[in-house]
Amino acid sequence: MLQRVSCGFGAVALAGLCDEEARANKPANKNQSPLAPKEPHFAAKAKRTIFLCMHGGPTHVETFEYKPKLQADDGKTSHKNPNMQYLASRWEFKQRGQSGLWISELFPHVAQHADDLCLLNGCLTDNPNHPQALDQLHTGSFQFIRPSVGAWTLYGLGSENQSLPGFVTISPKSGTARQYGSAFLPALYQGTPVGEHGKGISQAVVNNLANPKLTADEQREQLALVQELNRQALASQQVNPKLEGVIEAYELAFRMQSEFPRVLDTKSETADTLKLYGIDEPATAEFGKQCLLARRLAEAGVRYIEITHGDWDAHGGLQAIMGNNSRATDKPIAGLLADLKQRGLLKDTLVVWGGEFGRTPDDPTRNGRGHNHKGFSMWMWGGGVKGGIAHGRTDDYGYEAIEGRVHTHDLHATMLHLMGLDHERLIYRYGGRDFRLTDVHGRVVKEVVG
Amino acid sequence: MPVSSSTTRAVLAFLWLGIALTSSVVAADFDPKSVEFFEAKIRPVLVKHCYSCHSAESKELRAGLYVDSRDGLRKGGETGPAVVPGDSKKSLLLAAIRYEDLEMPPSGKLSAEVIADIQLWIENGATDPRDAVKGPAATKQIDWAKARELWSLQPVKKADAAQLKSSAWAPTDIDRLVADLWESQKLHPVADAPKSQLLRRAYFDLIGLPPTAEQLQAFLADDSPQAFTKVIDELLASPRFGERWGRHWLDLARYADSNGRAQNIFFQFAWHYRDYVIAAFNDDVPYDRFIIEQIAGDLLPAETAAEKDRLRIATAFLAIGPKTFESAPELFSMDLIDEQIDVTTRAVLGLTVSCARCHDHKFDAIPTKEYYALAGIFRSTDTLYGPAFFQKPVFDKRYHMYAIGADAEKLSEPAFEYRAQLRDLMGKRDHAAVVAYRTQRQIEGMNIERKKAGIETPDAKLDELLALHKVQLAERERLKAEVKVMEEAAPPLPDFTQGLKELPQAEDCTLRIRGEFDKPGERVPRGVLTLCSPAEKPTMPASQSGRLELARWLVAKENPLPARVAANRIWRHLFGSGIVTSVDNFGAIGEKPSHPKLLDYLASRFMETGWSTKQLIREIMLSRVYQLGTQFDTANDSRDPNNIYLWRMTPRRLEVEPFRDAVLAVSGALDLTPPRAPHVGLVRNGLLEENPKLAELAKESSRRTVYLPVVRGHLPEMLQTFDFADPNLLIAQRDERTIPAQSLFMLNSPWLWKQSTLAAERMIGQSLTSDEAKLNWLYQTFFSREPSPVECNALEKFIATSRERTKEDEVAVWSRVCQALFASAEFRYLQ
Repeated sequence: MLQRVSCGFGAVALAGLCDEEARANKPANKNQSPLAPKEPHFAAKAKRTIFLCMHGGPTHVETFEYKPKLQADDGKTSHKNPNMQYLASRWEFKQRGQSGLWISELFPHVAQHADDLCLLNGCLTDNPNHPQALDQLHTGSFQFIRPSVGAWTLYGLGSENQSLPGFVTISPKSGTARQYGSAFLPALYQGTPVGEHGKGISQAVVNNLANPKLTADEQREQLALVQELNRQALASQQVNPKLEGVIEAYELAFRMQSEFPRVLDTKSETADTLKLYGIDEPATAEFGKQCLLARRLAEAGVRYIEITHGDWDAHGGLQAIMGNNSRATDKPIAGLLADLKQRGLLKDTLVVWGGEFGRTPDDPTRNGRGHNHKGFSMWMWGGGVKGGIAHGRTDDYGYEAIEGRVHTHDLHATMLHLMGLDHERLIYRYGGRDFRLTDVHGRVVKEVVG
Repeated sequence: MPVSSSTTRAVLAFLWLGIALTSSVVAADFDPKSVEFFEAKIRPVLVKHCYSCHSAESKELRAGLYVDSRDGLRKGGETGPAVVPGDSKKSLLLAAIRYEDLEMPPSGKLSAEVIADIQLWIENGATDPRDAVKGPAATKQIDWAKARELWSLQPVKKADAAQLKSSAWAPTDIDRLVADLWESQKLHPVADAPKSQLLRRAYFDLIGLPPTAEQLQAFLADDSPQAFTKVIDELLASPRFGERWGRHWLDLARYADSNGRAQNIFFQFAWHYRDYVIAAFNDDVPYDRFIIEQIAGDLLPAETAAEKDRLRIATAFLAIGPKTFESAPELFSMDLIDEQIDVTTRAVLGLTVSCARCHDHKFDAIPTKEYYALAGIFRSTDTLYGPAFFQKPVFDKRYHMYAIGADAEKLSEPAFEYRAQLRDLMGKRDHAAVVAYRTQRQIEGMNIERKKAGIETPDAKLDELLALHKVQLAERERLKAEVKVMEEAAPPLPDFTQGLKELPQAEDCTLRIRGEFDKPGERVPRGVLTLCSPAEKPTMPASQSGRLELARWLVAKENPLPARVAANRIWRHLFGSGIVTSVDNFGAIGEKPSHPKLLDYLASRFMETGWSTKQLIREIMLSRVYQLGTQFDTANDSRDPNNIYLWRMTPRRLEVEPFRDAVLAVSGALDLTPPRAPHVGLVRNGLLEENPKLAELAKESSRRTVYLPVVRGHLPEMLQTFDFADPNLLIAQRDERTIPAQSLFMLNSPWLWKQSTLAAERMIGQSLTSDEAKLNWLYQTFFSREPSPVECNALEKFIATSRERTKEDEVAVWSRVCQALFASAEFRYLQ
């Protein structure tokens, strides 16, 4: 389906715009930082979001959607594609927890959280190509450059920690800046990348966070001079909010120099915690560190955190790809969930897991699967979603979402809703028209909201 | 929303009652039983669930569908008949409420019972006793005269200077037009800017570089009344002018050296366009001509080959946008056209025409039909966008570019011919490799069979194959070598540019329903917008795309938009804010001008002087209002806190280009030679995966910032941090962020530290004796002024501490001072 360009959202949306702009386009207090916390549209279930982005499109029929019919008809000719055969999952599904959710043996640790999980088994999106589908997953649009969900969230709510950026993306892949960008939203809302995909997160650096020449004392002296000169300039001009902004930004940057490395430094974590995230084992250490960092950022008040893992693109080598990726992520994710829960963050932290699309239930290679954007699985945890339920499903084989369909726009509407934001009211005017994350689409999936 | 069936029934009954009372007229030829069924089961459902979006009373009609009349339902909306009596399969209404394709109503699926009723009703003939269409006329008639009442579409009217109130304060017409509004607002102008401040302002505004200490001294020493005029004329004549003002246009042109998106192809020749723009500003090419060249330069007469190349390069304007190469061809074509329409109309007219791609423009009188009339013009144009990802980086005719340069014609044919032969030879080589490989597989297969069977005796067939393989391998190697020789001896290629050219046949475009590329509607004759055609619309030629007609129409003098939009932009670059603040939207929801008469004065002066950008800039800068100081004034501020009425000059932040260039100028590292390429080290074809060298290249470069590589998605760190215009989009007004990443850059960037050390060494090289003299020199070089006693005091204290800390290492001490001066807000803000 083609993205539709629209110049407005009708009279209702326009009527709401005026107070919306007054509220959301600017912080309540003129002198406040644009990052200052803002009131949500209504009482929020979640205060922060952690998005576990599974690049490449993990298969749904091997992970979170059990397809007995597909299992039974393995090798038979597909009713959809007569030149293909059904390919059953090589991994066994079991019912888990009190809720009896079906989860495959690829995720034994995550499965222990079944009763808190909300599976979305009727997901669908518009485009079966990786880059476009990923763009849409992050921004709602695969065609145009639009702000990321994280940027919209930050724009709507501000941040709780004024010494850190409000939207952090951990180890993003190169060339995906658009997926954590702010597009036309104020650039302060864009994601700050920490680390690079493929490089260990332990080596993650934020640009220019350390001074190449001066000791901390010397830098404080130099900054004092800079601020003295700035205050002189301000005094001579009497009033200049921009100059005040520069002075504030220097203070924040100075604070970030110590606050950011402190959050990034996991030395103070106990051996038990490291073990919980699988940081003590080579297979899980890297993603475990990233999950731990996500928890540290969440605790520190960062509003939106994304972690990237992949490549899940199993055209061939299905066994190896699914095996390795799930091994690398299962324990760390379960550790993150357990850790958030034990720290009392289950109720107000929304965790979202998923990729840009799912996979086909048939394939000629017998050891791989094609792209499938018409039906796939994601899941949510915490942040006010119902636990222990599987919402929606695909047809008997997993080709298409047929019940409880959750389009990417619906997912976004629901994520915003849980954060206390109405996707139809979170509007930004740019270039003469009003924009929304969900454009003219989106429905809050009320069925999963607790 | 789940509603219990008893509630539903109660509501239905109530509704039916209401309707039965109001619509007592029932046509006689309807079967009463089926009418009863309709009124009981069908109409209430339609009223309750569909009318809000699909009736004459709808605030906004969706999908062109009316369900409040029999004809409306049977005619259907954009996708076809909603109801086909007797045929439930063809009735889209049923598919929609079953959530098969569309999901209607969107608030939630109707109950199975209701759906079954509707199916039954359709299958029984869809009795519908309602009146014929009572909704408004199907297509909205636009009242053009009314639409053109919008201020921006009124003819440009130059205020009569004789009628303007003169005052001692206001020496020029511009000043009188600005001062005119002060009285009613109870504002008074602040004092004129000090000379040093004015000089710095003029240098940055015109050439994007600070004056040197010597230039400052010379200006301060010149007491003649013509001193400032002289400076302006010198700066306007400097080649640095085009580098500064050309970059403003490049923001609108979303200039980049790569495609961006998923296929980030390197636009190896885009820099020709960049240099064309810089040269056009330096040569003060009349603005109307400048626009025509960029839309239709290839269709203009050219006396020399060089001029022909220049005009072709100009058309790269519409070829360098970001594209999604992996789209279906038709979608690719329509998206490309959309981008071209968007950039053209927003840049020149300040109208958001591409809003009309899917539906009539919501606010401006731009019907979808006229969007597709414009689309036809670009549809008949071949966009030479450069290599697409599926093309091998072998230069040939398929390269989709113009060959340019003095010897383009001489070089092209032999080079292309040679490369065609080379490609044939490569094909032969690859074929030979495949043939040899097949034989090898056969041999391997036989060997495995023999091993399995335990056979070790010689085999004639195997020997034969082995001999054949040898011959085939030799052939493969021979061809490999031949290719290599031929590659090395390849004749040189001409230079290239992206651009536009005519397709062999002009073709009108079909309207696309709701903008969906694969839902064609009627064919729309090529043409221009009625809204801004006060005169006759140009006729589109049958044998050409109509681009030239479009280009001339865009900048026709009767059209009030182009001059207003351009004059407003020039004003914005000199004052920080436009007279119309929505610089790229002059439509109904754009902002209104703060000084309408002034804007019209500027627009008419612009046209009177032959659309000369330089002359308009000169006139504005020679006004007194441009030369005002930036002092704060409490009384004025309480009445006009945003300085809309220009009682002072608003302090402005430097964009990243003048900021970076100024750092380099102060450190002495600046290299003013324009490079003849996008950037050394970037000369590579095909995709630009993240090139780790890219960031380094940008850091090492000491050229002016306008010449740094602009790779979409991978901007150099400094550009990214300091709000460079996103090259994916037309940017009429850049962000002005104040974010910690900038502060971190200022405090800690190794690049800035390097420049600080260079600046310190440069200062030490001046052989100044006292710290006071040194600080004086630094302040003049950094800020075009002398330090105040308070500043001297703070700096001297810092110097003393630093001397202790560095054990009197003078370079280290003064590096720290320079770094602090670079980091201070004054360096980045223009007074």
